[in-house]
Amino acid sequence: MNEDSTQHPPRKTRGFSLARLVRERRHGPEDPIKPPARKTRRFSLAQLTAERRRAVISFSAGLIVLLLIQIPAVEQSFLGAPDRQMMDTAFKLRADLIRGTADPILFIDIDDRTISQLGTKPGSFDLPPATTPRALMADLLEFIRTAPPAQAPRVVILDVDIAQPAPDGPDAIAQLQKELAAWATTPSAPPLIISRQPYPGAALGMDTPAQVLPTSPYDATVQAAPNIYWATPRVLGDQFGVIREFAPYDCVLTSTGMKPLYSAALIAYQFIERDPKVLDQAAAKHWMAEGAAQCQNQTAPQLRHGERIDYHFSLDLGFANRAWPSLDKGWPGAKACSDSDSAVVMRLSAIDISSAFKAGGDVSRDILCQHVVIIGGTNTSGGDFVQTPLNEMNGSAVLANAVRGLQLTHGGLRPIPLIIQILLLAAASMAMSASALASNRARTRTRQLRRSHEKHKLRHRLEIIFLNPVILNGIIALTAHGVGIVLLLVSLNFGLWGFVSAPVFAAAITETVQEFADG
Amino acid sequence: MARPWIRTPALAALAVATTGWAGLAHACAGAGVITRIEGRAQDVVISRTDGGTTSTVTRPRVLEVVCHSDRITTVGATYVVLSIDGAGSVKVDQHAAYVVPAHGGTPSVISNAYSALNDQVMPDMKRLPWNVRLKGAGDDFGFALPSLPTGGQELEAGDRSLLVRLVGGEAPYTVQIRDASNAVVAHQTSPDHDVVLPHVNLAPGAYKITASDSTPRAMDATIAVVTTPPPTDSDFASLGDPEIRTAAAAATLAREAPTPWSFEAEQQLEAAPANGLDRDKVYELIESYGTD
Repeated sequence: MNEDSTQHPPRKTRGFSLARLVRERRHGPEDPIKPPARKTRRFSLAQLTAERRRAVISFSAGLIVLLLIQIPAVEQSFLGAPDRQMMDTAFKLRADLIRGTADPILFIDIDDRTISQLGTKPGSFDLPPATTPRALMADLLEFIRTAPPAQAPRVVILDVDIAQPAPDGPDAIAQLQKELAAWATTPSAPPLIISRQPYPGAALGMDTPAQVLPTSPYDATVQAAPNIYWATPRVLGDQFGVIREFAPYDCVLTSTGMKPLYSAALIAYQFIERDPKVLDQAAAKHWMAEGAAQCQNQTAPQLRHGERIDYHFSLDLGFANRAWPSLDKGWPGAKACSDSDSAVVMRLSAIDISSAFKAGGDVSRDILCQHVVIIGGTNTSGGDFVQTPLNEMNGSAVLANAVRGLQLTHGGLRPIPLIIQILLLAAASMAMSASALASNRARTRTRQLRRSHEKHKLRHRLEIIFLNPVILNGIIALTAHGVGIVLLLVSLNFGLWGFVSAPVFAAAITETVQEFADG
Repeated sequence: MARPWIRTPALAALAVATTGWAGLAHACAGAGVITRIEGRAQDVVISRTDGGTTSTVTRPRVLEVVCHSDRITTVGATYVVLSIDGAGSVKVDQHAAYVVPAHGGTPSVISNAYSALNDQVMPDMKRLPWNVRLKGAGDDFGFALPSLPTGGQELEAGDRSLLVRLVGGEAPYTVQIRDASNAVVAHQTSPDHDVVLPHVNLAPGAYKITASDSTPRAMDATIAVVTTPPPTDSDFASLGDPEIRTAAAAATLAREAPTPWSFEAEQQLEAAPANGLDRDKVYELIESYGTD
């Protein structure tokens, strides 16, 4: 138990003391008023033992949370909220600042302006087309396909489900079919990845638990093409619907049997990664083998957990509020594409490209040069907007983050080794124990102050507030949260992330409860 | 294997980014493209300043990238149409050079931290600019003519000045007129609510009027320019003062056919010679018709 010298009764003093005489001979005469200070140990053995017990229990509680949170279902629950918040803050702080040597994005935006110009009566009250006109897609693809090889893009993603009904009729479907066939037979054409939307069997009147990929007028062309791929655009959200992962594959039932429909981001990454060794060691690569193994029968479960998206640039609504960073000089395409736009992202309205291309004449293809081209839609008819850690974003913008993020992180975000996460938790637990020991005397005094009925001075009141275990441990947990954000700001650049916040909060709560229980 | 992102220490990169340097490393960063060149390409001149050095882009092509702060001029009858992020479609001809606006919102850790903080403390207001968050959006911003944004207003074609009257909002006010191809045919900024756009050449067709204030808030209205003149009333021909005569005729036109002629009525009064009439009262009268 801690002793406080101020609580003792006044000592009886004699007129003569042998001990005092000896002390005076050694050190000179004592101050007759001030009693000699008593030597006290900072902590007693009992305190250390009690604190060690508390620390072990608190650390164990944190460790249990840390181990549980490794399970995706738990991580996506309320237990994962502090770490999700930590990751969100890190994403927000580094948004639009990360350049890297990954390939830049050209976003050809089928925006409201594009859709309005392609409607039946622009400028009238007639509803705009419900889906993207196929003739527009055919024009855009032709514009890209006919680019000189030196200015060709790295990969093209068409983030529009072309199996949906075409608003511009069979002639436009035929035009797109023709263009896809031309794409398939053009050796210099870059890989083309086309998003497809699978449906539950029930939606198509089929008695199957599997997701079904409906047929499309382009199936024969795509299946025979060596450079055109169907892909899934599915993304996965947390309990609040915030999109954090993309589904690496969907097992779908097609007219030719069960097949994995791989993610557009995953397929694109395989084409844009320049280093075969990096591609071979990419963390995300395991999804390809897993997809092939899992999608053997119609009872294959739908994935509830996928590949994390490294959000590093924002594409806000209207695109008017952001300037994206310029490409790193180390970007491999820098020399060949010197006349191109230098930003990591460029957005162009699809109608501008389509109109310019159709008008003929000398049309520049510099904007395509070694870019990842994503054709998608921010138009209101499509309604393809989701909530992300950065802001509300169009689905194609999420895809752009996913593709470029995979390249930046050399194959996907990877968790730091569990032992390092445990060491971080241990460090936080030790900080809490150290804080408890260091402030033990002050806390005892605080308890006494709190129990007394006298009117306290302001200083005492502040002591009562700030030396409260809830406050002290809370500050330590919040500090760990902040340290975690700083660590993430660094580690995300290396493709690494880890859990810190939730385990430390669990340890802090446990420590606090024990301190109150111990009196 | 080369890993430049590892060679560059992440913390140093963040520190550098705090200054906004990352967004300014290259002068040409995604301002927009040329979407149309009508005439000879060699008559389009783009002056570009990069790191203190000014160069000229000769014979630009369609879909050529234009950079922030580029100065674009044309010679003779040639004109060029640009698509600029944040500004839409812009037509440049020999009458006025166009300077591509410098990009705002250069990212930095500081601005990102401010935005992140706002997401925490004011999540519902994160889309609003900081000055609106602090001051509030103020009074309602709108067109003084209530039927303007709902559509149906018509104007007679021709080369004429346009008066667009606004209410509420924060000065200065900007009004843009765009044609059916979304090209800007006129724009004007005004410190008061009455924005006059001089000499707008209006051909028959649909036009969009976009008004914005400094907060910024914006709103659109659609009008149709027609060749059919509005009906005239000879009852006021005997009035001697041309301003009074026009005001009476305009108010009658708006009363008898608020849709589609209220906006046209305001333009008629705007075009009349000033002779001391309190026109605001007449405009308010015109704007009151058709609101029941």
